[in-house]
Amino acid sequence: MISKKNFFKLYVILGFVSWVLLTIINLTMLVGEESGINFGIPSSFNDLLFALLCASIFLIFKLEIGSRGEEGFTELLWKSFITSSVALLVLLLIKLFYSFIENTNLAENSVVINFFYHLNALFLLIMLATTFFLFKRMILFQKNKLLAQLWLAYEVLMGLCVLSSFFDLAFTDKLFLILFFPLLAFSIYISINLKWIAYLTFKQKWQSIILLFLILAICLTFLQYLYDKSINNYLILDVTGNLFVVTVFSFTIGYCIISVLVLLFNLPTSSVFEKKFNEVLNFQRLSQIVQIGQEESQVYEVLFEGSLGTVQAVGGWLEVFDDKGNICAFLSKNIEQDVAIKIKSFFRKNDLDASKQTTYIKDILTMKYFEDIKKLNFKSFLVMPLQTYNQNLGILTLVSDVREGFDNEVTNIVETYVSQASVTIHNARLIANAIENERYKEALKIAERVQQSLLPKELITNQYFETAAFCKSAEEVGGDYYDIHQISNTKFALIIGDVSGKGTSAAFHMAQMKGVFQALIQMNLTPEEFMVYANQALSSCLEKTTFITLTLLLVDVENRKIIQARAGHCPMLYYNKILNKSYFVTNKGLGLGIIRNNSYKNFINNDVIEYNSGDCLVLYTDGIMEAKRTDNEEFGEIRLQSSIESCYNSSADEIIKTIMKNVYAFAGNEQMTDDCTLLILKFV
Amino acid sequence: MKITSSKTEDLFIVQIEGEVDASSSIDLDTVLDKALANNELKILVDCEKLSYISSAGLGVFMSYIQDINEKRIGFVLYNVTDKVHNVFRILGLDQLLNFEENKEKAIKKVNELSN
Repeated sequence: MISKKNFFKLYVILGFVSWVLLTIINLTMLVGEESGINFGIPSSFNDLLFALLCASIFLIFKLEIGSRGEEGFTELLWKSFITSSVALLVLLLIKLFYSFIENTNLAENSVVINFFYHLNALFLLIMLATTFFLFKRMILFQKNKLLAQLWLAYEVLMGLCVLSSFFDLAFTDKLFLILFFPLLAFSIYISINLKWIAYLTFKQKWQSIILLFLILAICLTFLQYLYDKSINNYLILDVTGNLFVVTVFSFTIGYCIISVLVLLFNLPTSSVFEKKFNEVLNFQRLSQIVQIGQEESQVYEVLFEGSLGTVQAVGGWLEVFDDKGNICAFLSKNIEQDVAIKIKSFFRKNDLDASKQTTYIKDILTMKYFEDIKKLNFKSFLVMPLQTYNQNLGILTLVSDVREGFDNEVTNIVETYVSQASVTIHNARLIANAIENERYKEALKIAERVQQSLLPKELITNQYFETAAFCKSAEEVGGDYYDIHQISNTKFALIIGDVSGKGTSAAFHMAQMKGVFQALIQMNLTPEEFMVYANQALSSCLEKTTFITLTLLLVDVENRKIIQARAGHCPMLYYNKILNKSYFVTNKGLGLGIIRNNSYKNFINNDVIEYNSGDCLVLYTDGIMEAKRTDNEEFGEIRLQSSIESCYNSSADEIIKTIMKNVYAFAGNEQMTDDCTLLILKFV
Repeated sequence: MKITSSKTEDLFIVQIEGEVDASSSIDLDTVLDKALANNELKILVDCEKLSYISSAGLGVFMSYIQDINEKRIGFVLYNVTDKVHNVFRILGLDQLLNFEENKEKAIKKVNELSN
């Protein structure tokens, strides 16, 4: 396969060689004719060379211009103009040369004349080829299938026209005209595709008109030159008789004329088109901002600039509120903040509330109170709220210095802007919130890990008793607490607690509780004393409505007894093996933090239980008791009792499993609404 | 939860219906706070239709105990269901708050307390 680049090279060489050969042979024949010598070169050879020249130049530019990127239309016209100018420059230089050699023999020398004619013809072809393919891109802008096919047919026809050089025709021949006029009609028909003009701005339209006009002028200069030479001089090669050259030439001139005319007619309406185009662009920008993840403030700017541009107001301002209703952004144009405040107070005085719907003040003179702002020379106002659902995101106020300065058409567009911007702002905030939530979740996960580390990693199991525990928070962190501590060889402390409320605040107090336990348990206190101290320590740091319930057990394995105090905590369930019965230990007690003075000691006391082997203690928090069935029935004391009575023979771990299985089965799922803790101590 | 309050002569009666959980406890707090701010000296809380009270609700009652004692306010809960009373009892609040079976006894108690 020959690459595009190689094709290009091939065409350049072919074009150059055919032009050089054509020139040499033509001039030689001319000299031969004048001196009566026949070199015996058939004229069809020259025709072939010219056809080759035309074809290769057009193919060069078909490749060259067809392969270019996305230039604007004025750039295309610039290119066409530059090539034409170069061709014109060559023409002018030759004319200048002639003015020097005027009145000499050389000026009348037909070889010289014909040589320059060949040179001009080359540049004319280059100019025509460039312009032809540049215009092609303009014609085929936003093409449909039909147009593409038409153009293809046109190019094929032009290709066939190249062959017309084999027929020795003159511009005035009947056959020439019969072929030329249908081609001309086709050219004009295809030239009416001028969609590109609609996409030009006002300025670009003027540029295009000037460029097209200049190209047209250059073409006409060439036309005049060719006509002049064809009439006055003997030409061995006359392009005016070439159907291809003439058709392309007339296409170029025709397209220039039509474009200029259409451009001129389009000038008055172009500002409207531009505006519409900008509106569409603004909508697009508004809807894209969030997708690209840009700042919310950019939405304000696009909305504000877009709205101002659309209504052509003298000024205005945009206030944006944050989630709490405070102003978080203020954008204004031609309106100072103090003027805005004045106008706002004018709205208030006249009982206008723009926070719910669009308010249009057509003429301030129709309002009751307008004296305050009369001096400002503003005549009409358009006030629009930015809102989503029930939330007011902001207010856009546009100001005009004429009465009824906002017509329905623009009001509708601005309203659409505003609603689009509102949705965009709302979305941007949702996304920001989602990110924030994600961060909180991360933080909570860390808190969860920290809290897990506050609970004992392993429980104590020895020859006297075995223990097992279960703890699950309703949220990531919770307010339940349990711990076990070996005080001496024969003394052990077991604690379970519940901070009122749940979640993060409860978790903080649970951590404090852990600290209090670790500190006080070293002091060899009785459970009652422990509670008094703990109440004192916690009272100063608990909120007014927060309390903690605790049960502390001191297990003395030497004397086989338990001393316990219950500070308002759920009474523990005691299973007595000998009696084969379970009961709740409901001794007197009061939650910590309820009474925050010395009188607390009056509300708590020690309770001593003597245990036997096989006895079992069930400690729990109210999350277990209050596990609810769908009919709102709670798990309750009786179900807990029957659970333990059914499995007291099992190991502590098994007892936990059985009770939790019963709780879950009762509640219907494993999603608890409160923190749940279960602690089992079973004497061996 | 629904909470209503009424004043008959010098008695300030609060009626609680339904469940007092973490969110509705705020309303309970508002009503009690207002009563104390208005220097009500005889406050009766009708708990007949109170079906459940969470620790947050208990926290609200607890937070006024000191005020009640210091200002010598008569504060009595009556018609408390066994289930709800049990919740107060477990926490030990039955030692600090006054509970009565019915309205008559409650009024009698409140008069004793505030004198």
